Amino acid sequence: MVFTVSEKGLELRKTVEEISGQNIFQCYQCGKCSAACPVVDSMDMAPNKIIRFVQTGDLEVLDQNTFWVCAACFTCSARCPRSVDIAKIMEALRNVMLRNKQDFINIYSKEFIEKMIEEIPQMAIVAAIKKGVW
Amino acid sequence: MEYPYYPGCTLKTTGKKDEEAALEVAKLLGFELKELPTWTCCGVVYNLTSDVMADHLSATRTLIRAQEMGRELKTNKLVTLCSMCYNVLKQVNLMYKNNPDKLYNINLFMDTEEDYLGNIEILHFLEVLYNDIGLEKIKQKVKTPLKDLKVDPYYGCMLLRPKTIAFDNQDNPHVMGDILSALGAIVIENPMTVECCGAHQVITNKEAVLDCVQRIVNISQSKGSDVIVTPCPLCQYNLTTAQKSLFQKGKINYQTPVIYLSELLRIALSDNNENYLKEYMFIKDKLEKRGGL
Repeated sequence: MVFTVSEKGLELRKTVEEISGQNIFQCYQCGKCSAACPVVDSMDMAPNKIIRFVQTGDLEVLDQNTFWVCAACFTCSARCPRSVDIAKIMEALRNVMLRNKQDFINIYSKEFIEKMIEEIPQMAIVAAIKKGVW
Repeated sequence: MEYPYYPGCTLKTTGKKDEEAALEVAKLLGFELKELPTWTCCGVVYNLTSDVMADHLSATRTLIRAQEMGRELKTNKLVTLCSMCYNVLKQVNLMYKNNPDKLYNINLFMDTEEDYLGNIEILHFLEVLYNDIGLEKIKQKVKTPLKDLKVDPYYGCMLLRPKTIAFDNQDNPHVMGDILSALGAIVIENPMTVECCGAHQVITNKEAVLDCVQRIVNISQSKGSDVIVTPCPLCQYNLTTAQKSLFQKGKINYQTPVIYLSELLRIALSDNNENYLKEYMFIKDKLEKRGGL
């Protein structure tokens, strides 16, 4: 079987590798990251599949909610037998979106402002803004 | 002994109880936490990208404040109470240690501040208790042993991951358990103790947090814990509020109280603890039943 990777796919892979500083081809798809992930139930696509999509340069990866749902708890990075820092790859994918001006959270939206009134600790609000707004 | 101390934003608002209790515990154990005269937010989450330096500025500024205060107190340590502050400050510090060129660049950029030299040591309050004070001394100072109180220590992610900043065993941490045993409590072994509570997903994806908390609390309750203790203000918030929703939905049978470790320490270490115990009736009842008081 012959894989053809589109120009844009190649660019995405290169950008992700650059931002995360990880070698994406270290991953051999054992799925340990997905097994360890505490929020995998809310994800459209399991983390190991996301890595595979980046490897093959499939742009569909950017439509998934996986990297927004990631809570950056580093469990995947701790469990990976190939020492791939998956948390960094998720951050890279978030950054690919954010740098193209596609924010996840609209801080001016009513829902978000209502959250501020609730007694949510600031650290949660600041963390969500840092992960979801450029 | 005096330590420079960085509170962080949440300990001044929703996590007030933690700070109050910890400052008093420090006094009872014979050391002082001196708050940095000026401080800013640490950034809360460490920026994992390799090319954004601006996100590290606020943490760096805090490190410079610690350096200034450390000169006065003749120490290079900085104590934090919040797990997330600990994580961010320690990761930023480590990044500078491994990449002196980045430290050089950031010192050039922050030209109105003094240069950061990269030799501050970040400690969590637990580390101070465990390493600098020691279990023996804590044992001697216990006034109200928490006899037979079943406590489930919950660590969360930020103190133990990534491995480079962990102060305890990553998969089988024991520091909190050892301290609680020294207070006379029974420590419950919960396999979910290092699992994530969902963290900031409470803003955008509350369902995920409910799932995480249900898994943690189910095991804790099946092992018969009276109380869950945690050092992290966000874990405390998530575990408490998510349990409330889970209870309303009928997914758990009862709610286990979640308090800070420092609060439990204060109850055990202080002589005249009637005032505090009023706030923690569940502990008072349990202790009286089991002859702890």
